[in-house]
Amino acid sequence: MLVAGRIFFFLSAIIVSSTSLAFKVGLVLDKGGKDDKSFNTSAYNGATKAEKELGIELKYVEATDNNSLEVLHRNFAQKKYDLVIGIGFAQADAIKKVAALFPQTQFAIVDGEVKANNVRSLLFEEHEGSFLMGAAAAMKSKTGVVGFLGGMDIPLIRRFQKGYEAGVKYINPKATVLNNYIGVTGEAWNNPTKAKEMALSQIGKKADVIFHAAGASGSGLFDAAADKKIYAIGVDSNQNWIKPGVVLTSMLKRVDVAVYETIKSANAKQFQGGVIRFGLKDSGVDWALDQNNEKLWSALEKNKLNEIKKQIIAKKIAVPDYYVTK
Amino acid sequence: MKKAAPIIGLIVGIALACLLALFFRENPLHVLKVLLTSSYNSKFDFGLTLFYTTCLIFSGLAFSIPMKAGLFHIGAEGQIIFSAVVAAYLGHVLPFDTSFSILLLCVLTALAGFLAAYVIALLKLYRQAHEVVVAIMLNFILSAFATWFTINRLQNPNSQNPETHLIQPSFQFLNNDFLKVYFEQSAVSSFFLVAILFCIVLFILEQKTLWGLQIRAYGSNPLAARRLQISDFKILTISLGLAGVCSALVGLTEVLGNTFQFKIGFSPQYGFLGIAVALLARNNFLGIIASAFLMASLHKGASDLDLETKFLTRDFSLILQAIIIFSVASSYYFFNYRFKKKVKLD
Repeated sequence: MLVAGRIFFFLSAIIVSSTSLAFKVGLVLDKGGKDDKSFNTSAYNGATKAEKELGIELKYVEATDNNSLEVLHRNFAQKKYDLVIGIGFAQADAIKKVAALFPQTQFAIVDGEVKANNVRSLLFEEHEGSFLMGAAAAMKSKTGVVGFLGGMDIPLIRRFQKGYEAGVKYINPKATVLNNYIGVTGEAWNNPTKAKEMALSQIGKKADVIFHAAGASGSGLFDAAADKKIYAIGVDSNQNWIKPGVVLTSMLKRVDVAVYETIKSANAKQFQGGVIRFGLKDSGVDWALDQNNEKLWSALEKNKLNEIKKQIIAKKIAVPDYYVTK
Repeated sequence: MKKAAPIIGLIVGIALACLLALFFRENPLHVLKVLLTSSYNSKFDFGLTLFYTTCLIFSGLAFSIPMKAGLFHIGAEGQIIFSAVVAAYLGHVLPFDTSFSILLLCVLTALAGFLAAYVIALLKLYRQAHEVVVAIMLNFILSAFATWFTINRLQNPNSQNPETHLIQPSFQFLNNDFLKVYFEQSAVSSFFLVAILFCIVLFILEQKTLWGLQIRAYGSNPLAARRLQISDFKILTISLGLAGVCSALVGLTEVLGNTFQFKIGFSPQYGFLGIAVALLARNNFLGIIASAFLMASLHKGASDLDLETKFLTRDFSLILQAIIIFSVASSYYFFNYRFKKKVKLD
C-alpha cells in the first residue's frame, strides 16, 4: 500500500513537473495567514499581481509552526520551483538551511537577513515610516497625548515604537506617548477585542491619535477610534478605507512591491542575492494619502509632512533605529 | 470487536474527512494519499513526524498523569514554554566542564517544570482553588514571563527574531545524535527514546506500585481515598509534579534536541494537542505512544495538504483532526453502549 502510494506519487510528480514550463514561484506565508489585511495580505497581493501580469505559476502555503517552515521550503525546492519566497522574520533560519542544500534554487526573504548567494533579503526601514507617523500624530493631536499599540513585544515592533516616539517629540517635545503591547504570544497579532480595550484605556488617558503595529488586531483600534471620535493610524497595507475619516493615514510597508519586483527580476533571469533595503527614498515605506483621508489634511500639513520626509531621505533628520541602538 | 473500536473509529474518521474534501473540489483519494504518505516521503519528513510524536507523548503524559488522580490539568502549555526558557538560560550560563553539567541542566529544567506545576497543587491544597482556573491563568503568566525574559535579558544579539542566545556549543551534543544523523538532520533526537521509556516506566509504576494504586484510588473517589489515609498532599504532589516534569521534557526536547535556543512561539500548542492525545488513548500510558504518533502524522500531513492540493488550506487539517478525534472518541462510546445494553437485557 505504502510502496504503491509512493510510486504513484512519484509518477504524478513527474507528470506535473514536465507539463508546465512556466516560471514557478512558491510563496511561504507567515502564521498570520493571507487574510490578515496587513503584512501577509500585502505579500500575497504582490505575488498574485506577478501571476497575472508575468504569467508565472504561483503556489502559496501558510505555515503551521516553526518546524513546518523548513519542510515547506524543502518541498518547494525539491519540486524544482525556481523561486521560493519566505514572508516574515521567523523563516530566516529555515531559508538559511534549505538555501545551502539547494544552491540552484533562488530564495527571497522579507523582514529577515540571510547571507547566501542564492538568497535575496528584503528589508524595510520601518523606523523611518514610524517617525513620519509620529510627526503626523503630533501635528493632529489637540491634547498633546498620543498612543502606540504594538502587537507582540518583539524587537521589530520596538523599532516601530522608537521611531514613532522620536517623530512625536520632533514636532512637539512636550507631548506624551502612551505605549501598550497587546500580548505576549502569537495570539497578539489577532486579538481585536483586546486591542479595542487598550485603545479605549489610552483614550481615557486623553490620547487622541493612536498608531497601531499589531497586524489583524488593528481593527479593534479602528472601532474604538470611531466610537470615541479620535484618529487612528494604520500599518503595513493601506488601511485608510477601513474607516474613512477616522483613519488619519497608514504607514505603508510595500511588501507587495518588494515581492513583485523580486519575482519580476527573477523571471527576467536577473536575480541577484544580497540585501535590498526599502525605505522612504524609494517609497518602500511611505504614508498613505487617498480619497478616504484627503479631507483630513490641509495643504499646509501635507507640505510639512512631505518636508519631513525629504529631510529624512536627505539624512538631515537622524531617526533612531532600535536595531542599532537598542 | 470492542478492542478494535479505536481502529474502526479511525478508519471511519479518515473516510469522513476524505469525503468532506469533495466539497472543496478535491479528489478524496488524492487527499488520502497525501495524508498517508506525507510523513514518510523522506527520512527527513519521518524524522520530523517522530519529533512531533516525542513532544506529543510528553504533553499527553502531562495531561493524563493528573487525570489518573481526577485532576483536569490544562496547564502544560505554560509549563512547556517556561521550562524551555529555563533550559535555554541554563545552557547559556552554566559552566561546562563535564557531562555533569548536562545532567545538572536537565535536572534544574525538570525542577522548573515541577515548580511551575506545583503552584497549581499548592493553591488547590491550601486555598481550594480549582485546578482548571489556576492552570489556564498560569499559562498566560508563564508565557508572559518567558517573553519578557527572552526580550529583556536573553535576546540573541545576532538576530531580529524574538529568540534567546544559542546554548553553548558543548551543550549541543545532540547535534551528532545517531537518530538525528540517520534522519538527515531532522528535528528528531534521542529524546524520542526517552519518551517511549517514560511511557513504559510510568505504565509499570501505575500498575505495579502502591503509589500508582493510591493515585488511581484517589482519582475514582477522593473521599474514600481520604478515609484510607491517602493524603491529598501526597497525591497532588506526585501527579502534578510528574506532569510538570513531563512538560519540562517537551521544553528540553526543543532546546537540547532541536533548535538549541528558545524561540518565542515555537510550540504549536503542544500542551493542548496533548489533551487530545491523552483522550484518544483513554489515558492509557502505552496507548499514548500510538495516539501521539497518529496526531503527529496528522499535524505533519496538515502542512503538506496545503502544498499538494489546490483548494485545501491548513485550516482543513484542523477540521480533519477534529473529525478523526471525534470519531475515535465516539467509537468507544458506541461500542461500550451496545455492550452495556446487552448486560441489562440479560
